[in-house]
Amino acid sequence: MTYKNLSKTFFINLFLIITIFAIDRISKIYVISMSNKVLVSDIFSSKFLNISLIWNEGIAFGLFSFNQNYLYDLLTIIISIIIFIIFVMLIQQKGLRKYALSMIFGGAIGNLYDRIFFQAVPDFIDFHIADFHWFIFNIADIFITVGVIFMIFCELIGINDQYEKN
Amino acid sequence: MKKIRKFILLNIILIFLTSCSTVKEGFTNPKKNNSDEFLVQKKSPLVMPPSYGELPSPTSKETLKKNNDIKDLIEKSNDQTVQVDGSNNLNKTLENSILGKIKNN
Repeated sequence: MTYKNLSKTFFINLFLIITIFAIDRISKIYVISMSNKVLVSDIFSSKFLNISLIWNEGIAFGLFSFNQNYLYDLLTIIISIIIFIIFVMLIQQKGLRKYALSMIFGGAIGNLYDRIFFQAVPDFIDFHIADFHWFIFNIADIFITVGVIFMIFCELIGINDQYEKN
Repeated sequence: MKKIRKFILLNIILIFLTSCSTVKEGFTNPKKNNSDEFLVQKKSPLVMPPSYGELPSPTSKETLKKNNDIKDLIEKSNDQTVQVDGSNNLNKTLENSILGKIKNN
């Protein structure tokens, strides 16, 4: 019974991770190809949403955008270690936290893939109200943020404990 | 206390794993592999060649060929007229000699 439950949750989590990674990859490939076709970084613009391709070599909010290669590599190694820790947590955790960690892991490997193969992460979703622009992000960032918020809620409210009891 | 620690840890994870960037940075941050404009060599200004005035005036091959063809045609026509005139004189002298001989007889 426990084996059956374990395998079921394992496959659900695996499916979740692969789906997030695939959605992220498809969206990034589409935006990059569109920007190559149009030859301009601004692909779409409306009153509240712009799709404009920007390459981020750093982390969140454009922090640590270094031109030195060794610093970039160091940052990539740190991110890889964090992803590995999340993977270990994903194996150990149970209940709703596992789904939250799957979301974080799926998004994180999506961004790590770009860091390794493109030397930068493409960001393209730009929400804005008039001249006030929010940070430009991508699909992987959405899943990571949702996963972290979900984890915080699990910790604060204690939904996970109730879920585990049931 | 444990919850606060986890909250901080999760925020650190969020900062390191997400890769959002500011609009300003996206438009102002130059790419690494930009070429240095100071390394570009200046080209010297264009100068006329020293013997430019001595060169013959350019004529196309077609006009030269046409001129030659016309010259040939004129020369040919002149030759033909000379030949025609010469043959006429010969005929006349023959007639006169024949008529003279007939009269003598």
